[in-house]
Amino acid sequence: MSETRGAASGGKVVPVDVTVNGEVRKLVVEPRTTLLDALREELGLTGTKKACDRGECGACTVHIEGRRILSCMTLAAMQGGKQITTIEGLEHDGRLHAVQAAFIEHDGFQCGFCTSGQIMSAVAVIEEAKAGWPSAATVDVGKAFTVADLSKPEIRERMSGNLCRCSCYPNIVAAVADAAERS
Amino acid sequence: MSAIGQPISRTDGSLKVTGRARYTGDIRVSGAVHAALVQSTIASGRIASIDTSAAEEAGVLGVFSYRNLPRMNPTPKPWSHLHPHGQGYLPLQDDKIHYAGQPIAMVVASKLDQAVQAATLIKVHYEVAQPVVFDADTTRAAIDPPQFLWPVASSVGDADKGIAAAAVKIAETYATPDRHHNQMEPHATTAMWDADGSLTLYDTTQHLYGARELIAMVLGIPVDKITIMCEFLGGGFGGKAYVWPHTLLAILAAKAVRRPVRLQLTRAQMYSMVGHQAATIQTIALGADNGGKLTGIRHESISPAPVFDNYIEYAALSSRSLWAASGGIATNHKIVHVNRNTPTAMRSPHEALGHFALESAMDELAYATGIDPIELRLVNDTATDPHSGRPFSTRAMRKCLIEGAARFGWESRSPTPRSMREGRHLISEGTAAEIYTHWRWPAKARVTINGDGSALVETGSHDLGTGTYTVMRQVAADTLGVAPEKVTVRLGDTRLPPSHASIGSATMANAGASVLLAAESARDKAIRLALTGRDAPFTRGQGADIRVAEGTLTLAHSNVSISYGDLLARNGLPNLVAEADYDPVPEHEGPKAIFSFSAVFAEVRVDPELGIVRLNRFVGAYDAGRIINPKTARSQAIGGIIWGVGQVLLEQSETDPTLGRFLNRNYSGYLVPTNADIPELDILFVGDFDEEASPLGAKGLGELTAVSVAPAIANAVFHATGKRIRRLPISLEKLM
Repeated sequence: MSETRGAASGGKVVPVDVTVNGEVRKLVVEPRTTLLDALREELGLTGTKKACDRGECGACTVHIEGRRILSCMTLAAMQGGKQITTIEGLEHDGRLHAVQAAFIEHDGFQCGFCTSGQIMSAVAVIEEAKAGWPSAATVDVGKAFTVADLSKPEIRERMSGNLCRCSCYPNIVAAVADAAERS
Repeated sequence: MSAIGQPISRTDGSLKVTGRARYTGDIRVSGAVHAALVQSTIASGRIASIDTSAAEEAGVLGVFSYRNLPRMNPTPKPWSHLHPHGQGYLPLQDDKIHYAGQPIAMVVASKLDQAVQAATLIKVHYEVAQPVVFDADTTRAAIDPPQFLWPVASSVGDADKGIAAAAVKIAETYATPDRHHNQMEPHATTAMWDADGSLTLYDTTQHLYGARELIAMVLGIPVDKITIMCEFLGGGFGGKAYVWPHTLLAILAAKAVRRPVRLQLTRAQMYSMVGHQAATIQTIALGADNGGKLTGIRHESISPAPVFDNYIEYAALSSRSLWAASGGIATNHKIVHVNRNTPTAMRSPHEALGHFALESAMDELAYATGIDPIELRLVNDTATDPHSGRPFSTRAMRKCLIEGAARFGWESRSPTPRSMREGRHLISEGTAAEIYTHWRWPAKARVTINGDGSALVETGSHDLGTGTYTVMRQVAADTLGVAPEKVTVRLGDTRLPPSHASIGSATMANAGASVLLAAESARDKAIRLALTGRDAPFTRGQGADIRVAEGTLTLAHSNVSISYGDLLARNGLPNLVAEADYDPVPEHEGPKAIFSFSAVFAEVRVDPELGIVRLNRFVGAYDAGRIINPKTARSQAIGGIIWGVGQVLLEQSETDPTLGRFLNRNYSGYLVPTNADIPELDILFVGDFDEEASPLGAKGLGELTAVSVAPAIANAVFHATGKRIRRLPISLEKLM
């Protein structure tokens, strides 16, 4: 990784190539630029939201290499060569992801500002369950966890890193449960 | 099939689940630059010196303080919803410091990081004065404020005499803390000026036209030169209904640097740059006979206001109209001027604070008289508003209490505190009733029927997440007789027909009425064309004989029909446009008293050793008139209940008593409910069509649902533990 002095920004800048939603994007960012700011300000991907900018609310959740990450708490310069998926990358061939469709059906949002983060978390929750990951709500951690074990208490626990001030929580749980069942 | 009453999914759903819905901070304007703020670290005093030289040398576009920001006009008095300032004291106009976090300087740079960093280079020296805070000492010197929204005091009959003569008396003090809205979306503004002096603003607002009016007055810009847009709002809850200092600063900065300027508040800045809910200290005295019938209510409240404004939290308002009291009802409000930014409406302002006191006191009365809490409320139900003497338009309080109690299974409750257990946990049940103000406001709308049979609804209302896009489509579809998918709704732009603020749960009843009237007018124009236009298909009959369904007009008792498209083509018209001006008399001038009502029921589980309170289940029964969309309405209700769970168990903005500043200025310190805090919630709508409330029959719902969650849960906590917590939130140390 080479560093150059950026005339426009007045500070040092770092070139970094990331793959965002399947497309290689060349970024030139300051070392202090968060992935969140890079996505929103440099790449124009404003579906990922800045609500607290310090890892407390989950609105900026994206996937890096398939795992959910708070994009406000990681630096863009660290993501060279990584595969990043944002809310804009969930649709396939113009069709909504099952979790997106379930959020509409179960009214899992009101204002919609936290929704990108909720959905990115929910997609990961289902994958984590499939991969056998237990949670703090898991009754028997000795037993292999499966997606069929994704009960409402499990979903509530696993989705609690995503705040929703309109407070759609019961609808979000219903949407995730529905999508998990269909997955 | 009628679209109204159907649980239709949100029409903006696909935009919101794909990240394509564009909120204010997402709007990208070519050439836009960024502003960052410097805020006062002291709560009282003045700026002795401010050194901006290092910031100016950091390659920025502009640095502003009171020394160089242009002067503004004073905010208009008296305060009005028509031109609503959030705060009377305007930013960067003088060297005074009235509150911690007050904006004192602003940096504009081409990149956000640069602006934020340069702002840290500004050096400020203060003359520090001791701030006044809201505490036991200062509340003793509370003053009588001038009227703000409603009369400050009220008295019907002789409350004190009624209480003095009562067989059973309750006299207690209740307190609610300062709270912050903490909408997920931070307040944001992008301001741009055109060469001809016109201003375009993307702003996080619940009140487009009020904002335009206020900005015009304070900044001396002709109203018709200002355009404000807000297509999607990431939560409002009252906190985006008024114009706050950052919006004015962004506008002036954009003018000075001759570039569009974006200014988005940080989460921490939202604690002092925009409003919050003021704390209250409330005293309640109730008198009742042995049968529980109230003989008198006295309810008084004291709340803090800033040194420069007279904001009143009308906590005692609810006691004016909720229950009958044979002797009389008296209420009063006082304020204390402190070094603090101005409070504002926060879901559910006034009512949610007053109900905590009143409905907790009613539970205390239930125990004092030995009467079941539901029965006590049924005994004190009234068909006449005690305050105004007018009959209620509709009041399904009885239905709320009885049907809600049946759904909840209230009759199996053992009334004795600490008598219900589940393992080592105490289980308990509590209830509370609620009443919520109904606003009648003017609103305009335009409906266009197009040649292809589609329709367009245009009104300058807002979608805060309440479902406005969806419900307005339903109203227009039914009225025009077209499928909902044929209707497009446009909101959130001052170039549309003016509507009112989206506050006070007033949008369905008022903006909705304007859409209904405009759609009726458009439909009637089409009917007239079908009767009297070119090659009129209906050669007999009159308007009332014509039905419209599925985009086709049909003459009664005939098989003659014509589609909107064919009718327009036959008359050589591209479309039919109709506007409506809904202009109701204000509620208090009407013949009937209009309110929404509900009864709510909570079961909680208390860990007696750790003092942890968990909500087990909750039933809410609501009279909000006719429900237009049960799906979005239910979502508003669960949102309101959870908002109330935050109020009663978690939320408080703590103030440093010496420094006078808010301490917990982030989600890590200011706790709001998370998914794991919330069980299943059960919602019942029991209201009927209320013609007095709105031509749509709808009353307010969103705020209603957050009104009495706190007392219902507090009453359940008493039932569980025998401890009456009169100071919110019910944090665990209060139960240990």
